[in-house]
Amino acid sequence: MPMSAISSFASPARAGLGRGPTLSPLDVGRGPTSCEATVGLRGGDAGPALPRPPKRTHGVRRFGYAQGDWLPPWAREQVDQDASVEDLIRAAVDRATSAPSEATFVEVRSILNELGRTTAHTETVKRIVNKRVRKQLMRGGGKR
Amino acid sequence: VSLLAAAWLYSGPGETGSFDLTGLGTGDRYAPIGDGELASRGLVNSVASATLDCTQADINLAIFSNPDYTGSFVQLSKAAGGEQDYWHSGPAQSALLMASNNQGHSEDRVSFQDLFRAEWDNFLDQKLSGTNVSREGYPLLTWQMFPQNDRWLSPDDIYLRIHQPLHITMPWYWSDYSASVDYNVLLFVDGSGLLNAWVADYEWWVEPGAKAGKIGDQLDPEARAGMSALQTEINNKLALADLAGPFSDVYLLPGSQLEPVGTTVFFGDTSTDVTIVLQHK
Repeated sequence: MPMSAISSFASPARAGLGRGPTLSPLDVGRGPTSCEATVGLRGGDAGPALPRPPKRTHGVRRFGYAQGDWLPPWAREQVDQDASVEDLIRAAVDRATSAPSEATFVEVRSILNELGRTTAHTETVKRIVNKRVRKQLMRGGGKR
Repeated sequence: VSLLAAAWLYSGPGETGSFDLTGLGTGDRYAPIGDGELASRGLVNSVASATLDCTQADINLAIFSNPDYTGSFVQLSKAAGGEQDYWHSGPAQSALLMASNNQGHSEDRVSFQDLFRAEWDNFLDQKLSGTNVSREGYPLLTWQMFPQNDRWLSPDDIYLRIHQPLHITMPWYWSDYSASVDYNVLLFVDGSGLLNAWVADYEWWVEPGAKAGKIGDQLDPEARAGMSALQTEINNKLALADLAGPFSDVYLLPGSQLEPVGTTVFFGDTSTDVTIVLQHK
């Protein structure tokens, strides 16, 4: 589906439409969805009375901010050598595309996201991490 | 394939401005993007464009009006395989990247409303019969995702949430009170591949007033006792529903998505419904 078609679907958002198709939140008895934000007496803090089910996971991916050493040594070395932003991005992408994995994605993500806080760096990232590179990040397929 | 999905969210139109890159590994279901992460990228209420890429599952990026993955939302969805660009305007207080329709697995999808609304009304009316407490309007059947700072709920779990406004009838010379009760329910697949429900906790609220304490004292044991009965009720309903396992996973999608939505953009509200998705082994 072309982007133009997708965009046309999204246009009602500008007018603030797109709430539930049949009932507005006010019609479904929406009271205090968060009791903490409501004046009054609240309770139910005596804890779960029922035996817990076996531990299971829902496959939740969390990207926390690593403390202190978020920048891997090879990237630190580049920074210390005054490498350009382009060189740092290329080095990160080369590592990630030569051995694509969740671990290398986490690594390249942390670097790109920190650079992507500014419009200028976003332009640089977008130029280097083009569609072909993004495909390699996802699926492998060798170096750029 | 090394990743299931990647999402680039931009503050500017046409993939410009600041951005946030997130993704899902092959075993992941959700990647929450909280208000803190959005704020750190200048993306709160300012997600103007996005690019989604996915491999072996459909990918869905829901952008919510509230910071706790609730409220009205816009969902950008891409069917498995390839990349798609989107533009967006409107609130963005939190976002959630969700994999669905994983290749190699079939799914059953049911509406929380359709499955449980009538059951809840009957259940509660029976419990309240003969008391001075009655249902006040409709229940809110919604979800609670990754609750933070909650003693009884896990930040790594996803819950169905039942919120029911109540009316407390007082003797004629006193004014009536408003109140409510909430239950958070965890769905899980047991070792036999069967779907089960666990009522994780209960909450109640009474509006301020001289009688609020006494009402709360009466409401608390009833609400607590309701946990076990409710769990039995839900599990009986699940057993009777046409949900043939064995299943390998159960997960939730916001709003009503009873069929895979493909590549599209659609709007919803977590207060209207939640879709329960059962992935077959």
